[in-house]
Amino acid sequence: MSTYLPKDVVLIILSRLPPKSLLRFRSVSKSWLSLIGNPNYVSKNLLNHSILTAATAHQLLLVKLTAPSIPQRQICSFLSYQTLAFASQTPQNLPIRSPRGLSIVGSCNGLLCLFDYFSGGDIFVWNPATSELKALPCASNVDTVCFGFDHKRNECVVMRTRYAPERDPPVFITNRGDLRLNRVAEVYRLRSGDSWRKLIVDGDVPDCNGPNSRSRWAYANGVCYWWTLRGVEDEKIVAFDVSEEVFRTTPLPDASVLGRRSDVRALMVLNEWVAMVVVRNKSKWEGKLFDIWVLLEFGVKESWTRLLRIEAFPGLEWPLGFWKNGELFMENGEGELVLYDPSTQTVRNVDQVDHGVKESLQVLAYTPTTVSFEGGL
Amino acid sequence: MANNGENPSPDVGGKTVKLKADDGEIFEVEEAVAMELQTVKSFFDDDGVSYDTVVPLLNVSSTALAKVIQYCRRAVELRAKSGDDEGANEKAREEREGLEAELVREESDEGIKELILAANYLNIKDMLSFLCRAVGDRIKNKSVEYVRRFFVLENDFSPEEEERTRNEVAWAFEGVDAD
Repeated sequence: MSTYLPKDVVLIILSRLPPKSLLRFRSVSKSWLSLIGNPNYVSKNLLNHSILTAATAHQLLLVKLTAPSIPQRQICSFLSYQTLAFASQTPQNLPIRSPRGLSIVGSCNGLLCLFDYFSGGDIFVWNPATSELKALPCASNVDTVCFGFDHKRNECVVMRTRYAPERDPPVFITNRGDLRLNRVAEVYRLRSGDSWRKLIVDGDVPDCNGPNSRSRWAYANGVCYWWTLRGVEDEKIVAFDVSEEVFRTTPLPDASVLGRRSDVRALMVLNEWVAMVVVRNKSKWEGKLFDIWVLLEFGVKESWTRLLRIEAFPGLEWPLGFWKNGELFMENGEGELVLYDPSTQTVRNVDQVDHGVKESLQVLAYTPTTVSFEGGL
Repeated sequence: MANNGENPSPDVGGKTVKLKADDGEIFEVEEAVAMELQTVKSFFDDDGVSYDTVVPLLNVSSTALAKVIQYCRRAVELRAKSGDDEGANEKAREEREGLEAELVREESDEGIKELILAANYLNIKDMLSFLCRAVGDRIKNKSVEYVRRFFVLENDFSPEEEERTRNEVAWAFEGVDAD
């Protein structure tokens, strides 16, 4: 005789399960099928709850933009992550050569990694809470930078890939394919190193190449993600595991599923999963179309799941990242930070942040630390 | 069965409460521990109920009650240890997680379900929460058939319906534990 558990207890158990398990358990019975539901972001069912609910609570939201002033300044504002109330703003002018080129690559353990991609190689680690700024040893022709936390060794790690013609034998560059032969990947460990260490990579070092110049990389749980294009039809997402120091790739959905290749795509993370927002230009009065996809299992093409479509909002320009409960930060046509709520299909301004130069907005979850990284972090 | 070694009568001057399991076995428990069971707390919150009254817990077996009491006793001790000190809190949290893991480790599926029913009936929120989490961890990689057996559920799909539902997310059936 097997004990039967009442429905309210079953709900508690199911509400803890990951999406893959829930999708499988839809086949248990008709009542579970209806209880678990379909992934469409807006319905309040177990599946959407498991995808959209964050496991960790972040403390602050960092908003970076380029102020439309002369000379242009990069401003970082910090808002409470939970309420979006204004917390502080950095007074410091970041050390940059070209204002539009500076990007925040990642936020780990209270540290930010900055990459000036116009200069081709300047990488900094910055702690806004203590104002410590460290320039990492420079190199030229850097194309990808990522920043993550190694849980095993308890330290932050910067990884970069670059074109390194000093690799032998020297190759006469005839086309882009040759550039791949001379690329290296290197890591800089903040606690245990003073220099870049070259990684031994199986095969080619993946490059960072994708359908657009914005929102090309993302990070979650010790893994950095970015777009790569190996051949005309072979676009993938690369994952670099910061602890294991290995690269893996995952394919995108088939073109028949995804839509036209000419659409641009923003890469981001939704809780622990890679997500992408496909952006399609429609007409000026219709606004753009945004399709939100999430990859429920890395490496499994069929696990790409479309969650939501946003359309008929002429003001919305670009997706920036997810907030809580599936709300989406976006940039509008005036360079302002706005928040889209899928359950009400409304957009509201995040007033605590001024508008910036168009296409300069970035948002990141951030938890400050006052621990000095010169002591090792 | 008399009180066993897991449930010694306390000889300190604190108040105790008597709980009676479904088979009539009586457990004498420190008041602080007994109040972890919200059902028991509500029982005594009623006016005029003296603390000498034996609380009848008709839906709880003595095996389950013994484990519940043991868990709550240690949970109360651990809570007393934590305070403002972050280090002490962290240590208490780790010990608590160890306690929870220990409770479920040796339990069969039937055993865990019995504990869940007891925690649900006795209204012990924290215990119910971690037991449900433990069940979730146990079943998350299991097959549909295993889950049906565990929750005692009938397959009410037609073969065609079931095949269609499975094929919609065929990838989710990869990497599943063998039954």
